[in-house]
Amino acid sequence: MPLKPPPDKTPENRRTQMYKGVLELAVLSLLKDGAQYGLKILDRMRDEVGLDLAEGTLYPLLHRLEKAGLVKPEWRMEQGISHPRKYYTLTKAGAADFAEQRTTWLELCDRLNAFLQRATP
Amino acid sequence: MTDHDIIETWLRALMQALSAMPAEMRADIVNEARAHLEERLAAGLKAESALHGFGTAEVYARPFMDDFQVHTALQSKSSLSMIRALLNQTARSLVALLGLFVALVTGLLGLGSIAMIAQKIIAPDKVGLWIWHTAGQNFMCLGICDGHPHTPDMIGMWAYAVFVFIAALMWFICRLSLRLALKSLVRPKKMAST
Repeated sequence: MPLKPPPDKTPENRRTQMYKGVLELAVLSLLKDGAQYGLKILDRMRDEVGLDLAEGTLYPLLHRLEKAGLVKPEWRMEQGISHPRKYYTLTKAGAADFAEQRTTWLELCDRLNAFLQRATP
Repeated sequence: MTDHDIIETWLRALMQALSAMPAEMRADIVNEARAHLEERLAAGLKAESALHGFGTAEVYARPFMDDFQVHTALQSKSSLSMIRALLNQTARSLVALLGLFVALVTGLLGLGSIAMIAQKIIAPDKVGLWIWHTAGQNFMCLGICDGHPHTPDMIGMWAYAVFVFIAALMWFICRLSLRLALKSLVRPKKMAST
């Protein structure tokens, strides 16, 4: 009978742990496409990145990015919506930080991929 | 209890958990959560499911409160506020623990230097700098030293200046370590650098 992996070693959990380190990069990358609000960011993270992010993780992160001057918030009232939405836009500092993090990440991925592919399983 | 009632109860609890914050900042956080939850309800979700990712109001409020405390401590420049903010982070941050440790060691050394100045006023001949040679080895003692042979004190009244300098230096390093630890907490966690 195959052994069941412990709860913290399930593929889903592993993926979440791996994404945690690059969460900020993923959010900044998403905001590079244009201003977004929290709920939309969550949905796009799930649909496009495959990351089921909790609200309790995303909003404090956005708050910290705002305090660090990397994103700028703006409340917008839109047609057909009963309440205003808080949109986040990447600032100049945020864009520069994103570019730096992106380069670091891509270099790391290239090196790690080459390392992992040196021997097939 | 309707879904809207459940959401309103949770939002009131969130408002309460954020009560130490300025009203405008608190309203901003609560309104953002409200907008999110209302949109989820409008999409047909039940209140329990919509709230699931937020956790309890207290748990959701904690990172905002931590961040607020760190920013307030940095702005106030008060050592006590900085120590208090770092103490709250020690369970989750190694940097906070390290910053506090360095601050504690340098703080104690600074206090020790002040104690030496006080002792020098009370008993001038007990505090100083002695260097002596015993059994082929050189020994040095700065401060109060009972175990040295009868050698003259090397610095005399300069001991005041030496200990004032050490106390000021330790105070500076202590504050610097508190500030640097807090500043590192302000910045969102970045991925590990290669």
